[in-house]
Amino acid sequence: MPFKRFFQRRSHRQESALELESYLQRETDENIERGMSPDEARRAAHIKLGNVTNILGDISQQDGFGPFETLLRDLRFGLRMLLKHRGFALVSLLTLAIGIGANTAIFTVVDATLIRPLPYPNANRTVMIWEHRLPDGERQNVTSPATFLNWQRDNNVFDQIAAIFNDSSILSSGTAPEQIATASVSPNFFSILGVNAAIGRVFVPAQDGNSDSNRAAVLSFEVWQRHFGSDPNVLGTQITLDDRPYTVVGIMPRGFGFFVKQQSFSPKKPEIWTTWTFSPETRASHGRFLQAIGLLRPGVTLGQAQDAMLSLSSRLQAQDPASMKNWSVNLVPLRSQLTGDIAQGLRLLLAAVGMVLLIACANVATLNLARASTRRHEIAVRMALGASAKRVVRQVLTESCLLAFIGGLAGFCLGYLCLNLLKSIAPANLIPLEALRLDFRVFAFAFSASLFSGLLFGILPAIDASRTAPREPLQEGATAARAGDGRSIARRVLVVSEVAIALVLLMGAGLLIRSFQRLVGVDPGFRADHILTAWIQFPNARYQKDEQKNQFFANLLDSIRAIPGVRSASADGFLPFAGIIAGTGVQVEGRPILPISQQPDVNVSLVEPDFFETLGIPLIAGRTFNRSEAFRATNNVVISQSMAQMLWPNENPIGKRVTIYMKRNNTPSTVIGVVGDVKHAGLASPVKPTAYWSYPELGFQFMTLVIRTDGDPRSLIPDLRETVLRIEKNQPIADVVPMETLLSISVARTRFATQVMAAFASIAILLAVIGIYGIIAYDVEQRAREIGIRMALGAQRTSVIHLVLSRGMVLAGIGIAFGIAASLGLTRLLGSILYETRPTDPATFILVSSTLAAVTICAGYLAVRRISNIEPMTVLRRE
Amino acid sequence: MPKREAPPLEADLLQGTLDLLILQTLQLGPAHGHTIAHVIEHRSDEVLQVEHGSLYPALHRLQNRGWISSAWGPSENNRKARFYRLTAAGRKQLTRQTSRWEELVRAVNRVLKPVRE
Repeated sequence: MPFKRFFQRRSHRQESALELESYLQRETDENIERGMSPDEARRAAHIKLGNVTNILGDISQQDGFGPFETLLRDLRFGLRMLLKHRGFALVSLLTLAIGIGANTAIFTVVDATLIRPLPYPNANRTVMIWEHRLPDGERQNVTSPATFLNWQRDNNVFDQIAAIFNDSSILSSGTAPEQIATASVSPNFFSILGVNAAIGRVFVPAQDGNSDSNRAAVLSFEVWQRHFGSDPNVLGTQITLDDRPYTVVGIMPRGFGFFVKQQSFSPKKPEIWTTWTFSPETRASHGRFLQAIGLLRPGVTLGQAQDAMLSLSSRLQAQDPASMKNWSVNLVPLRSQLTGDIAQGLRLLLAAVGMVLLIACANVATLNLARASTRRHEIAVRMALGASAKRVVRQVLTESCLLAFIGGLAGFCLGYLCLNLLKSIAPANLIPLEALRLDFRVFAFAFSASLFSGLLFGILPAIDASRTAPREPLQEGATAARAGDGRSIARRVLVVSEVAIALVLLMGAGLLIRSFQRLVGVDPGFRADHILTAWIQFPNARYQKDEQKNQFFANLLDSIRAIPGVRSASADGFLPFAGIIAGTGVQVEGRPILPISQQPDVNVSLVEPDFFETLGIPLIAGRTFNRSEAFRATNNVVISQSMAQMLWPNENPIGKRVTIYMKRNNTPSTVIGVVGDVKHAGLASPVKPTAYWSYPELGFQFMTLVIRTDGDPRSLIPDLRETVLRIEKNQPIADVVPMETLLSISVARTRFATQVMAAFASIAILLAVIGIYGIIAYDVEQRAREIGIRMALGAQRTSVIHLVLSRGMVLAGIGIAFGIAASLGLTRLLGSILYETRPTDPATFILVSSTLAAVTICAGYLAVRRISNIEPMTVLRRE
Repeated sequence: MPKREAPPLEADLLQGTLDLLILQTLQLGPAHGHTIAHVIEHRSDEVLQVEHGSLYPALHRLQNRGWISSAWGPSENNRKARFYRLTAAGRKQLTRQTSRWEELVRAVNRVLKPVRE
């Protein structure tokens, strides 16, 4: 029925108009009969009937979809208004697009990392189980096979737990040998995550991993595509990992991956999974190297599980104090494990980008208020013609929302561009790039952000418009309309808050930049320029004797040294900035024997001769390793300065003997030299005492080549690969990167956060400048009459400029004062991110505040220059 | 929404009862808008000053509800006019609304009387 009426409403309207006309005629006739003149009679009839347009409006409203139709009408009108005021519309749209675009981009990242469910069905019940090293508070330490087996046997809170060991192996079946990231996992690993294979099957505990004879492997979808050409027949065939055969039993779904970087032996996401088996001798081992993951029993909370594991841990400590004293246990839910380290940063960015949107809204509201003053005439006419306050508010709000939605649409597109920019500058492994996409959720977010901002910046002008008393502006005349007091206060409050928020953002960015400068200014302890590094690892089974390994490296390094453009070459077991190093306790000879848990802790690495010379680590005392020490273990050790200071604070360490507990026979090593400290774990990390053995002492399966070149280290890469293959034809090298790249990767996160924050701060300052410029320019325009009179009465142009400018600057000053106050409270949140920079760093505060002040003065000055164009006579004649 | 000069109380009162008054007027026979307006005004001894314009939206509403129907026909002085007549549903509605109105009046009177004494 309403539909029928809706479509007939045009003819209804005509009919009603006719009907009213017939009333008027009749009433006029009667009035004439009563003796009125025809004109008078018609007028009296009109008065009797009332406003014809309103009556017709009332009637046709009954036939329409009231609110919907009003909305359409308002939208049409709003669009016309925007087209009419193109300048206003363009600035507002741009401002909104920037605000909403930046928010959309950041929300997409937040959604992908923090909101969307993890791609593991059991993720809610899955926790990582770490050991907690009490003395130095490392809450996420890998565990030992012995402890893991105890946990597995004695806990009563987990359905099952699994061990993970991330490794690196040579995949040599197929075309070229490839160094590939692998993981040895307990056979129940996949069922804990609740993920099945896409093709074939995952490990079955009863079937796989029982013996060393039938080893099973599961491939990631990506390695299956890349290395095996997506051949489904690879299922059931044998592949060779580190010279040992494995049967492929399954291929995981596309995109499946699982990697917890914390204390992982390999820094890369594994692509092939094999089963972890505990051999009889490893079962009792107390060496800590396993990650553990557990599936909570249904109904068991994290707190209950933590309590249960703590009491289990103290029981284990009582049984075996030697290796368990000072160790506790710590459960971390999978989500916090995987996103914990970036969650805080993301929340900060989200807060920052929210502030950008607030500034954008304040800006558009200011513009709107300014425009509302010039629109007073229009609104007064509407109200005089019978529009209610409610109706005017609706009209103004509809216009704001229309503006916001167009801005939001533009922002959505801009967000897409921003996202691509983010993807290109985001450091690897920081955010799941493949999960970043603009989907319905993001669209819904952009939509709500638009609606929110439309209402936010529209509400003030709307209230303001509804307060318009019709008579006033109509009598004043359009040009003389002065800004009402309330309106002008609202605008001033907006500008003040805009400046204040911009200052907070700027302060955050300033602190991050300062902290970043300090960070990259840190001396790593070696010279990173002109150094090429390459990871080399050979299969366990390849060299049976230590001599073969020693010889291999000696030959390899000699060949590399012979390449033209190579200054020197060496190798390191654990390269600085590569993420891992071995650590152990030490015992100085001749001092009281300490229990393991009380021994001083040092890092241990293996080096080839020329290592310190190649990296440029200074020799402080004694000597470094000579060439002959590359062929046999001599129990000599080179120690870092901090280790010398820790163990022999007031003695000459050269010639002293110390036991470093990492070999089967724990004979003491003799200190032959002291070298400078190296920031091994990153620029921001403290230096750790480090012992360097020559390679034969432990004879690792892997080393990192370190080569100092004359020119660009990258140009050496082809020659290096060729040299390695000439020495050993099945030997790949991996992670071939210049040392400088490793250094820059190590600060990539900080750099990324700094860049994004700086971008937001630039946007904020830009918007604030537009705001300041806008309000002063508007002030000038509104006060043109006053200024004209002042000048006509003899005021100097400069003093008038000074007067107007100072009004704007007072606002900026108040904004800056509020901003500083807010910053003092808010920058504290940055505390944990900043490097050697206090959140209230006075230099940054002064610099940022004065920069903002200077910029606003410039903007204000540009705006008051308009005064020069004011001709007193023209202004006064306008009245 | 039109802005009326009339005091709000009167307007509010009328809006609720206007329907009833129209239906009651039409019970006497078909009539056009001008007549209805004048009849209401006249029969209430000029107390109910209907703003004649407000009558038409009310007529439209009543017609949409099916309580009255309309047709164009010649008026007394041979001009075209729109005549409204009561439908069966309208008649029923009138009885119902009248008794409800009387109830309301009785109730209000019972409340008001003691105050007057």
